[in-house]
Amino acid sequence: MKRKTNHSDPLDRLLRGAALANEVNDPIPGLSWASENRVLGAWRTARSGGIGESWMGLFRAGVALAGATALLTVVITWHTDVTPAADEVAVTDAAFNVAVLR
Amino acid sequence: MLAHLTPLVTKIVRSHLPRRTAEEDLIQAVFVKVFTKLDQYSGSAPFTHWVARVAVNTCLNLLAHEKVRPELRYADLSEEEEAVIQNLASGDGELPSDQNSGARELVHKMLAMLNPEDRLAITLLHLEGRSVEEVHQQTGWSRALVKVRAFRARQKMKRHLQQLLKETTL
Repeated sequence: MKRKTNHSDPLDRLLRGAALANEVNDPIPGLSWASENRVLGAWRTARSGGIGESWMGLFRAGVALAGATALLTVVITWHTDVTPAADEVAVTDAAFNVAVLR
Repeated sequence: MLAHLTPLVTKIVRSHLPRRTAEEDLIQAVFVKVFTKLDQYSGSAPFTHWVARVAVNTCLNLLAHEKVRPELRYADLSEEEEAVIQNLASGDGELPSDQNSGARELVHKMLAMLNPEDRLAITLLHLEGRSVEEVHQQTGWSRALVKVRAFRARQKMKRHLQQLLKETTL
């Protein structure tokens, strides 16, 4: 599709001049060594990330299971601690006192 | 592959930048995206078209919050650019070839006052000489949107240019 341009319109004249300058002197340097390496590094990381994803999933599941087990253990221990047990010392003391009083 | 794609990506990135301060960073960001999203390339279009589309979208996303310059004053122009303005104010024909680089600098300053989408439309259509169809393929904008954006961008540029031309006569 050909655009209509007005040859006397200042903006068209300006844009044509700028376009000609763009064609003549617009060298495109190659990508610098550092940039190239960063790009390739990002690519490799992305690829290795894809392969290691299943291992990461397994690792996360393991951590979650370990956490749940630890929590369960703490709850059971705490429950056992707060349950009042028979006071063996008190019973012994009482029996001793009774024997002494006799 | 990098060497093959660099000219294409550089051209697109340049068309988004008012000044080339961050050109290399932007090119790098585009390539990182291209290489990390390679699995998303479906193969239905030529690879360079896909890369161009990724480049355009990356640039537009990165420059979404860019501030545009409010206005351009005649006093801000270099001598070369002033000569171009005076030529535009006085004559009707093509600019002399020795003023083309001044014209390019002036256009870049004027493009810096547009938002990234308008700038891209003008660059692709008027500076790179692409057709509406090509711009449609490269940007993903509809053909009507390409025309509307170009028209509005031209109107804005015309207003800025008229202001500069008026200042020469004062």
